[in-house]
Amino acid sequence: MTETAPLLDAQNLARHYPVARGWFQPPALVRALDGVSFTLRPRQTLAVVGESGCGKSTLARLLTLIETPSSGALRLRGRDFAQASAHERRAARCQVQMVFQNPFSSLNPRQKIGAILQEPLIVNTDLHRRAREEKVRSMMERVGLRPEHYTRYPHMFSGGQRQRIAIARALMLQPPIVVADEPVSALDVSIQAQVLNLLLDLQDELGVAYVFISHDLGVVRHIADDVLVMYLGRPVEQGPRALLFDDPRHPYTRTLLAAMPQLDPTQRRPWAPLPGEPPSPLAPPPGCAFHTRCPLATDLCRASRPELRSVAGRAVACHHAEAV
Amino acid sequence: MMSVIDRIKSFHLHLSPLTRRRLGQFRANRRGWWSLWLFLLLFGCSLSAEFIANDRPLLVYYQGAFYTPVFKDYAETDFGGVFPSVANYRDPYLAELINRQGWMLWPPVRFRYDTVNYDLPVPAPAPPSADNWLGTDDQGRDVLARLIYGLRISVLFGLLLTLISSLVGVAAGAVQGYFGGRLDLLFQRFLEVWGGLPQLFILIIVSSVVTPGFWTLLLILMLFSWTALVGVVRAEFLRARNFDYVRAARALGVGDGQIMFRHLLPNAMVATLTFMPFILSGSIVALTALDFLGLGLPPGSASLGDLLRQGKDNLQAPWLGISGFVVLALLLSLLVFVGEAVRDAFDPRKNRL
Repeated sequence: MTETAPLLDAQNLARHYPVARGWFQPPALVRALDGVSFTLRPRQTLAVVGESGCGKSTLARLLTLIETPSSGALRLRGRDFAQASAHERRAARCQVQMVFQNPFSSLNPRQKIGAILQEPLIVNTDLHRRAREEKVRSMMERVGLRPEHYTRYPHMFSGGQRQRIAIARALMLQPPIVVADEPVSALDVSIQAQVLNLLLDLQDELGVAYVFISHDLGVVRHIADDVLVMYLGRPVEQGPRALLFDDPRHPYTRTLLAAMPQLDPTQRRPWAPLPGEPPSPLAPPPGCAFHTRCPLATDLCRASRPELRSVAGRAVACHHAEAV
Repeated sequence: MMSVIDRIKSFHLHLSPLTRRRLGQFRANRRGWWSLWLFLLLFGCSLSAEFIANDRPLLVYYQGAFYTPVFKDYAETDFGGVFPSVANYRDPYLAELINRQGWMLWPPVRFRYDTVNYDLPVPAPAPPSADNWLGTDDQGRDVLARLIYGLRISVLFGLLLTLISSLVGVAAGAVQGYFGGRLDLLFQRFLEVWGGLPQLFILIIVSSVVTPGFWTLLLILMLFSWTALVGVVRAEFLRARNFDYVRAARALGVGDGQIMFRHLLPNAMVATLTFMPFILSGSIVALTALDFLGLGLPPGSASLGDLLRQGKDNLQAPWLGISGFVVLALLLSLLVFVGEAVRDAFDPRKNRL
């Protein structure tokens, strides 16, 4: 299955934002996303992991073609959309759909569920009322909503049910790719598992590929095929899930794993939690961006930035990857 | 009868729960609720002013046939008179002719806003009497009739001005807030300059150049009143354009126009509807002020401002000023009470869902 052609192919994707600092100063450049590359195949799940401010949501906006990358290539089914015109991008938008973090804000409170789920069909197809309603109802059944929910308003639902609605909306046009931006982090833990399993079931049924943005490694371990760990807009470690979880080679990945809550105290990992906060993306430190917080940092890390290189089956951006 | 009630009930059930709760809130404010009905009653009466205050009968029965002078002009000769001119039913000679072979059904007030009462026993302005219940103005016209017609033109003018300036204002604010950026910046500066203009003076200058009629006056006042809603609508759109459900709609390929109309406008409608009664009362005051200064509606038309001006010019005839004041104060108070009730009904702190 992994040998099929890539659905989505990102090469060196970058997004920089100029930030005005006043009248007489040149604008500063925030490198929200810098040099991210990955490929995504059908039925595959790529998890993007990182602290807040590391560029996860910027990546999501680029992938859903809402924003244009500053540089790099973004190929959807072999076609590059990085510099496509606004018209072409809009036409291609229904190929990548999005599920948002907060199901309380991602549904219009003034529309009934039926209307919310019909909207994608109204905009992108010319199906008749009856055909649309039929499609909506079958999708509702698929995501585990009851038929009588059709005429209800979002506020009548619990968070988990709302996220089901949001997932149904994202899947209405049967997109090959769904970007899920922390889809379960706003939900109760007991509901999280239900929604995750729903996502997995839908992947089996429909063959959809997920880009799963999360900071919860427990969730990532459950759902991901590949993992991309980001720090300050750059990938620091990238590879198959099992390798990253069992044998992390970047100190940042290692600390993230150590920060996972463990029920069994004897199983706790020896790495201490990170001190401090990530540096400002306006003034990233020279050398390796992580050296300010890294327990293994040396003069080399402070002087030169490590490039992504292949170590033990995954890509790592660390001078000391072999030693970690 | 049952079916009508059933239909209202089913319509009520079709409303979203939020709307239903707001309706309930509005009704719970007794003062606002009754103010609305009293206002609607007054407005309804003034809309049918021709049937309440008119210088011709509602119905004439003459020689076995019915005539409806309210809807149609008849010649004096139709009723056996001498001249083929339009019948003047207040003329005792013609009344005598008709009453001999039939009868006339008069409206409660036997004057139109422009009917001059030539039979006044005292020089105009005449004090209240059995004929002129609230007296006459300085040209011998019935004050009550002028109030009824003046109320109609004031409210209609106010409603029209509110409607048009709201449409323009909402559209402008929506575009400004939705697209933001440079457009927003330029537009904001323009609005500041526009808002800094001395409105009344410009209105006076413009209306002294252009002969003001109903529609030109509407246009002139529109020039300044449309900005009232731009700020709130812009703020709502700025806030809501980054909502997740708007981003989701954008990802689905929904166009800008549809996003604005279907997803953002409902949010802005709350602010707009809350403001509307106050804009309405503001519009009525603006028209009255111009009329008071003699720069408003053309001379001779019934208007509250004109009545107030006459009251100022004829302090010896207090019925002019007092009746004008009472009607205007009542109208504005009712609108403010309704506005308060609407505002409370839309208050999100009372509508937690």
